[in-house]
Amino acid sequence: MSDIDSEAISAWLKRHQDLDIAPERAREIAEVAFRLNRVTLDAAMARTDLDDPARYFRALVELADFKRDA
Amino acid sequence: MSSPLADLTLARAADSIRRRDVTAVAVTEAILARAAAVQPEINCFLRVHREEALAAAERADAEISGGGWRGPLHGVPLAHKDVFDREGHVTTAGGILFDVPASGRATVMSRLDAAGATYLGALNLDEFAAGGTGANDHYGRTRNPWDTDRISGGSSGGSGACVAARAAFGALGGDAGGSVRIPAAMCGVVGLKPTFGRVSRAGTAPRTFSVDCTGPMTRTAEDCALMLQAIAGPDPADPTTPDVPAPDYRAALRADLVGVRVGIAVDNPFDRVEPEMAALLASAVDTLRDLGAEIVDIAVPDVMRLNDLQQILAKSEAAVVCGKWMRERPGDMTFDAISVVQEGLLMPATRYLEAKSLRAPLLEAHVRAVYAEVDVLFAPVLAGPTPTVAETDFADHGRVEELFTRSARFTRFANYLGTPALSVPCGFSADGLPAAFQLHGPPFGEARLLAVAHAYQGVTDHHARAPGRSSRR
Repeated sequence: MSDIDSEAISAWLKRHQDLDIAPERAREIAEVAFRLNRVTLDAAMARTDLDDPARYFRALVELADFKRDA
Repeated sequence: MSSPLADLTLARAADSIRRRDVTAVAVTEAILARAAAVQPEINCFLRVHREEALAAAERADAEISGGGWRGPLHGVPLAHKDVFDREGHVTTAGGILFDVPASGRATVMSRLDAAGATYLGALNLDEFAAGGTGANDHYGRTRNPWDTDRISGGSSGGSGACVAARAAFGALGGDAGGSVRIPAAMCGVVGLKPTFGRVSRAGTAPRTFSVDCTGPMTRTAEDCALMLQAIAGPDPADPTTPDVPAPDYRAALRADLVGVRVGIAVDNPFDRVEPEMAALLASAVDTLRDLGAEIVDIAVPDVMRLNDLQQILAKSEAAVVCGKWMRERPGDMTFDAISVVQEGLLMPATRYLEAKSLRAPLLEAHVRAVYAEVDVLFAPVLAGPTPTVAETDFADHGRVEELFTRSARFTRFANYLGTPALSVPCGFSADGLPAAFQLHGPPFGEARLLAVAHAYQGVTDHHARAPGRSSRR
């Protein structure tokens, strides 16, 4: 992630979160965050539609103790 | 100091108390003596409520002698990770931010109390459960009872170490990404992450909203079943607990595995295990086969992506939970605690909501891909030997995270999906360190995981071995 401006990330964390984070650590944080951001974006883009997050609870119950066909 | 009463399993101690072969007071005194003996070496307790515990044990004896036996936890001393409210006590969550005693009682505490369990005290953890090594700069590190130069794992490190050292018959921990299963594996005890919503989180200090699970840590699967029975089920105070009745977990335990199909998780990341651990896992698979299980290999789709999605939920939500403190009282949080939640500050709401909206379809796909083929999924918990304190005690946060992630890649996906998983001891390395395997199942499939683990423990004795005080350095 050579395009990360560690000084800018450090300044952003100071400005928006009032956190004093050294640029090196800010870069590390940004690398993780950017990678995880891509994971959801890529996964979401691979689908034709997205579900209401509330449906998760129904799915959990509907699959309760799911058994294979013996 | 070395009373054999403390070495009983929870089930055997409970049975002895029920039959009045021994009093609850005697059992509690034995456990308190063990706790006092091991605490200087492993630092698993934050508080021991000696007088409260003995008073509760006296009440239990009076009730039982009067014919009022409440069930298999009656008079049994337990201790718990310090995230569960009990009125009159400060729930520290491993930090120093809170100084006001709780005004209520967590549902899990109330349920264990109603079952007659004796509350011994609060157990150590990584600050705000935001770590995986058992380190805590405020209260001191929890150390591994098998080798005090090794980490306990975390964040429920106090719970794992306490149960392994026989300083409680069981303990509750919390698991948002492996925080029950990894310390259970490192300390050589059974640890259950239940289905999301199986156990109430009302009155429990949160690390996250979507992936936290409270689960028992015990020496045996049977003990785990007994604790789960007491705490599982819907709770009006926690709207994420669905109306799915809890089965009789103990009755579902079995002695053989005839007719059970066990899927061995293959490919990345499950094949990234060091040779000694791989050999111990292979031996465990042989034992399951000898018990009658049908063993098949199975590829689990998208595990690494599921792990990353868990990280998006966990980090975003932890940043919300901790955000106010990080902004207003950063001086009262350690750098370690702050640093692991900082990533969540950089995640856009759209990414977080995408991760949430993908959860149902990915859960459905996972369950149909895996559990249409097998009854349980067998996987590693640890990639290699438990690290030494020295290996994790350095300032490079990235290296600590990398070390932890080696094992967390086997555990985090279950938290994203919300599915149950159980860590089961399966032997020891040449250095005498515990090894473990993990059993995964479909939602609300805890009974089948416990049944397989119980059958395994019926023909093995890894769970019966105790950390030898003389072996500690």
